[in-house]
Amino acid sequence: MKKRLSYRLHAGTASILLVFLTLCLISFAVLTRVNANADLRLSTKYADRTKSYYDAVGEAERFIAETDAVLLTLHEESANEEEYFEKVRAHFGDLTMRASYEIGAFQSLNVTLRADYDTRFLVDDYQVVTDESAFSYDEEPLNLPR
Amino acid sequence: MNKTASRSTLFLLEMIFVIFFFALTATVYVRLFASASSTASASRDLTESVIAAQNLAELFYAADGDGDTLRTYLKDQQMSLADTDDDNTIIVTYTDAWEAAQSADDVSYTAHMVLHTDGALRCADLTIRDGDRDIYTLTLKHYPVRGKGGQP
Repeated sequence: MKKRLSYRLHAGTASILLVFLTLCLISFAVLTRVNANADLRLSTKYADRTKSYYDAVGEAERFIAETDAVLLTLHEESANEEEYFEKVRAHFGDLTMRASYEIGAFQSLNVTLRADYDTRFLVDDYQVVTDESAFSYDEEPLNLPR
Repeated sequence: MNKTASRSTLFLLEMIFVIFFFALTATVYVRLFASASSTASASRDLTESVIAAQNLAELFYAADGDGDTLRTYLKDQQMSLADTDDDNTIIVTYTDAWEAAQSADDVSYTAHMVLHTDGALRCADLTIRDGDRDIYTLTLKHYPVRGKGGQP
């Protein structure tokens, strides 16, 4: 005699499934939301950093333009190299003119111009510098297999 | 018979409760998923806008802030330019996937670059837009004389 197999949903099975499904979906939804928020925060940080960089570049370009305007006048008033350098020293205190513009908490754009008789000035330095003192490094070496 | 009817009623009641509770919680996680989706979309738009803006900014500096040279560079990079009445305005068009738009129907995002001068500086106001909504804005300034002895 064949025994008939019956599949019957017992009372409470649907409720247990519901609780499990709800917990799963809520967990995934919260994780997705948290991840999306973290992505947006990172994107905003990247956007702000880029804006700060180009603002600093703009300020540096203005510094070069203003310095060159002064150098142009001094150059026109000078008959030779020595006189030009003397006038530059009298005006700026040195033959090199430096400026630094903050990009963020740890970085700045450094610009250094040097007086030059033939070309009025030369750009010696135009670079982003990171303040290493703000960081600390782990002195322990990584235990890597050789 | 009574036992079967009572079991069916219990099952029915449980199913009603389960469906009701599921519908209730579904509103919560659908809202969570929808908000996560819009946040992710905003994040993607912002990142892509910054990349596009950086690309255009570097081309602006490479072109020494000159509009015609910049147009040549943009064409060399196979970017699509929209027609403008103003010579000082350059509009670069992008598709939904942030690639160069091949036709007006493909355009989803635009980069508006308004060139102007501020004394000796060559400037550009760069805005990345999604339709009428501004996503990202940069102001670029460039002094074309680099110790070359030329006149500003």
